Amino acid sequence: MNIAKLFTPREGQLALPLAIFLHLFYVIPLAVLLASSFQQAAGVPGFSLGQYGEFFRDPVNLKVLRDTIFLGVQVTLACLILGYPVAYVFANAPGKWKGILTFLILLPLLTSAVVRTFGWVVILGKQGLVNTFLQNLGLIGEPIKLLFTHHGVAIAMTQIQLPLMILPIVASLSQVDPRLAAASASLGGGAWRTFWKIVFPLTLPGVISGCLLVFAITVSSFVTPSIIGGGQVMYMPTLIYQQAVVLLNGPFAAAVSAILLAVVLAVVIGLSTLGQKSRAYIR
Amino acid sequence: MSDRENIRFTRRSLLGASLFAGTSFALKACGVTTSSTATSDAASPAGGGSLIATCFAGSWEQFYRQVLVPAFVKDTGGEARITPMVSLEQVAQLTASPQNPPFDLALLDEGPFNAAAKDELFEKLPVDLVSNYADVLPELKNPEGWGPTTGVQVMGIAYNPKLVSTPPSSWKDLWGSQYRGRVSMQGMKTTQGTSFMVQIAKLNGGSETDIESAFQALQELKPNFAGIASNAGALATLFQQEEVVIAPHDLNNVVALKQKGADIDWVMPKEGGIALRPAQQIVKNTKVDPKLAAAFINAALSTEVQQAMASEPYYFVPSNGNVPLSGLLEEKLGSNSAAKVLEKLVLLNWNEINKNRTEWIERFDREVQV
Repeated sequence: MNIAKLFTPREGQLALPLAIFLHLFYVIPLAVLLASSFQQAAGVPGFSLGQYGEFFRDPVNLKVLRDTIFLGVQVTLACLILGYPVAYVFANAPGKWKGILTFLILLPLLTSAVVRTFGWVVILGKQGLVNTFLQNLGLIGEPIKLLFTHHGVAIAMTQIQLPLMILPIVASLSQVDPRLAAASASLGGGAWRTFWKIVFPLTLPGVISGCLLVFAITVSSFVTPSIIGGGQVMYMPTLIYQQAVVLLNGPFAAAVSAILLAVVLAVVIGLSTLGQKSRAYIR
Repeated sequence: MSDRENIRFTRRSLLGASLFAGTSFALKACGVTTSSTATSDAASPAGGGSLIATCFAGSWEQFYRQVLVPAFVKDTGGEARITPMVSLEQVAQLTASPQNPPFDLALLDEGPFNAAAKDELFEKLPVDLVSNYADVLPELKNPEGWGPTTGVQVMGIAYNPKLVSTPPSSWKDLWGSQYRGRVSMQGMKTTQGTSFMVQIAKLNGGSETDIESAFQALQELKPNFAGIASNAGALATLFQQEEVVIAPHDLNNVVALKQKGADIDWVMPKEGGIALRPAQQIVKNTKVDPKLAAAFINAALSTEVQQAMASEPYYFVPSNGNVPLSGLLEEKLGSNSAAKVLEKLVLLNWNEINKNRTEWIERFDREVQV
């Protein structure tokens, strides 16, 4: 290879600064993390699957893993069901409303997750908004326990992650050619049929990337589950923190992190293959 | 390749961008000068210099910023920056880079401090540089020569006086059937949670090394739990929301809440409150002059600073034996002498507790899962 050629600018080189940064601060630490998960104990050299064995032998850990995945799926579905209509309204709103709607959609992102979480403590409590409302309507006699439960965490997480679902869907909705809907209507397609046969499939890439973002961030979030769930509902990130920082059991924490990473990767790969397929469908 | 044509810098946009960047730097610089406590470089015993100290968030941070750091600056002409952090995180950060520690002075609870590799992470207290060390109460000095307790946090029972008609008087009152679904405590990974469990074990015939009886009692307490709070801040919110009406909690936190208008009050149980004894430690391998670090600890133990620490709004029991208790602290603890108060408090042996603590934390988390 010609040396001079190395210095001619190419597009790939534009990503070089980021690549170097990510290698130094992400890839290498990740490699160290994975390596330490195969240690028998902290500081003991050698290769062992002991930490993983320990994780999968213990039913409590398996429950934590199950709960975490379940939480991710629940929150993703809830965000999709609540977020899609919002995105749809946004995409079809007149221009002057779009500014206001963008602001409203982004509003939750402008406050920190910690503040929003404490807000949810106030809302979900026994004297909170939800319970007072339901009691005043006469729907329930006794306040329902929402704080410190899995459902409470799922509700709060859904609100916190919602913008991450709405934005990608908005992006792909705005790319849908409005003439397609008009064409469908002129061929006798009703509104529902047009939506399900034309619009929804065309926005699948946005839906999938929204789902990816929400799932990955939900299963790895720490603050909201630990404050709303308290000490009695545990998820993978809380388990990792506990093992690494409280119990100083590095290798086990690394193994738990690796397992969480594997779960997220599996979902990412699964959803992206789906994404590829949906893109093929569009063309 | 059409993208390339879109990126075109006009003189105006370049000017705008550089103005923006310049202003941000200027703003950032302003922030630094106001937040660091720089002072005159008058001649001083330690000859100036700066250090970074950690402390706990909340009352401690407020105390550090408003009382301790100004006193230290006055004494030495040095400057100090404060980083709030919980004990476990401090130990974790020091363990991660013992050769290049991110701060110079730590404030640590007994449990995490005793469990850490003390000899590798901390320096023993240079007693000859800390003249106020002589005034520290003997129970609060470290027998191995590490830093002494800075101030004692007293853990007793916090309750909501609006919803609890008869104030509790004993730890056992938490088990009362009238509190079904209204009790909370901090998890066992916190110093408070572990202290409570060990104390319950002691009341039921156990000890610092055997808390089996506390785990049995925990099962009986479970129906009373509204939930386990992850930290003191979360517990405070739960009290404000009336989600919880009774829980073991620190006096200083309860007073802070009460002053903000929350319905909360505090009693010392008849079995005695539990003394939590956080201590300042000098970090090993720092670049800071040991005299300066010692001067910081000396300032913290001085009569004036300890006096301020024992009064509104902090209410820690002073380590300095010359400081009398007054006001609310005297009223709640029943004596004006810190030495007398310490006799009534339970001092736990964390060297013993730490032998099994990790096991207990895991077991606790398992047993409270819903």
